[in-house]
Amino acid sequence: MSLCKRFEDEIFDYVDGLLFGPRKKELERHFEECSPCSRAFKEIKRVRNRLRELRSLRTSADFETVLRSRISLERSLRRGALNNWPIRIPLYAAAGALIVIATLFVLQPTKDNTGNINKPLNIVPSLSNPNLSDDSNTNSQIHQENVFYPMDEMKLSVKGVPLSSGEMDRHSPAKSDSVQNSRPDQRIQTVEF
Amino acid sequence: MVKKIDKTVYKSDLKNRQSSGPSDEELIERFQRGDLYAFDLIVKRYKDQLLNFVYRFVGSQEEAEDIVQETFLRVYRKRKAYKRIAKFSTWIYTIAGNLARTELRRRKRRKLYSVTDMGYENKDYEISDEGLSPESHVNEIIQEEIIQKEINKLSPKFREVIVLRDVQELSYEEISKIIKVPIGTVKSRVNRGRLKLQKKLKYLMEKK
Repeated sequence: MSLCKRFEDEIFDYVDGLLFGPRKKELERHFEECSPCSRAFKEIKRVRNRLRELRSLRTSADFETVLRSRISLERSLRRGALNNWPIRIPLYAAAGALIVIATLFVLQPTKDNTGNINKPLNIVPSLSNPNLSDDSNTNSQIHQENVFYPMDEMKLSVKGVPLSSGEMDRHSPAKSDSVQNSRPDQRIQTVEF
Repeated sequence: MVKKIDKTVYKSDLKNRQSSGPSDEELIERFQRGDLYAFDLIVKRYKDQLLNFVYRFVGSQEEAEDIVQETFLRVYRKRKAYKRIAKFSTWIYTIAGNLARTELRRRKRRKLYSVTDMGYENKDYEISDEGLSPESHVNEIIQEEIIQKEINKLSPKFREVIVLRDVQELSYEEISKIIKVPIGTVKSRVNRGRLKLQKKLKYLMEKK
């Protein structure tokens, strides 16, 4: 069944009782001339009326009781959750454990590429600027003398275990053949941040 | 076996209950101020209406009741979110419609669709006892089952507007606000939904 395109919207408005005046009269005249549209209008109106007559269902007898119980439960959970000690103690314990783990993580020493362990939070000052004035040069010399290179002080084996003094001597750049034969710029190892 | 219980609940009866007493907007404002009795009244007013809407939309009375319960829980939790710029009925129908649509999407993903849920198995179904024979009652029920099955076959966007317009008798303006589409689109969907139902139910309407 197909409605005449020109009157399709009017037919549905007419079904809904939303068509008035000249448009309504025009459509009613069209129904007299066009039996498919007239038939379709009657069928659509019948379906619409039948849908309106569908029986209304009711909620079950305990609907409101169940709803009230759910609301009470929610209210008591919201009010009592953090005051309830069986819940509170594990929550606090978990929070404390997290803080301890985070602290240990931040404080643990790190390893560089050679396997030597550096002290955490040890910032190595950079070399002074050669273009500075005499005063600053003096200061920079002092600064250089006072520069602390953790690599010199703490030489560790590859496995990260501190070396004994004998072992340290063996591994020091001055005594090692490989180091003596190496280029000067290769002797000093700096840690770049 | 269907039992005769009480008189049929007519939609006009529901409307009459609402017209007396405080308006929905007054009730929700009282509830927002802490008056729990106002919330009880809202539940009494809307529980059956919403059940019918959601049932016609999702096709299962059990699920429909769960959805209506959840709707009221959300009204309870989010009562401060309601502002008087919109009708309360628009707000509550929007919540119910969203939950119903979510359930349909979830069902689609699960691909569970029980045919036995699409009928009147509920023993709380009420029938008028005014002058109709038992045979007529049974015929009515069977016819309504068929109609509901055809409604269920419509795609959700047509089904929702048909239920809101032709079953719940809401205005086009209100439906437009509930489902958040222009009025023209609502009318177009209602019309197309009616045409589809008319084709499927033609033989049923002719018998009547």
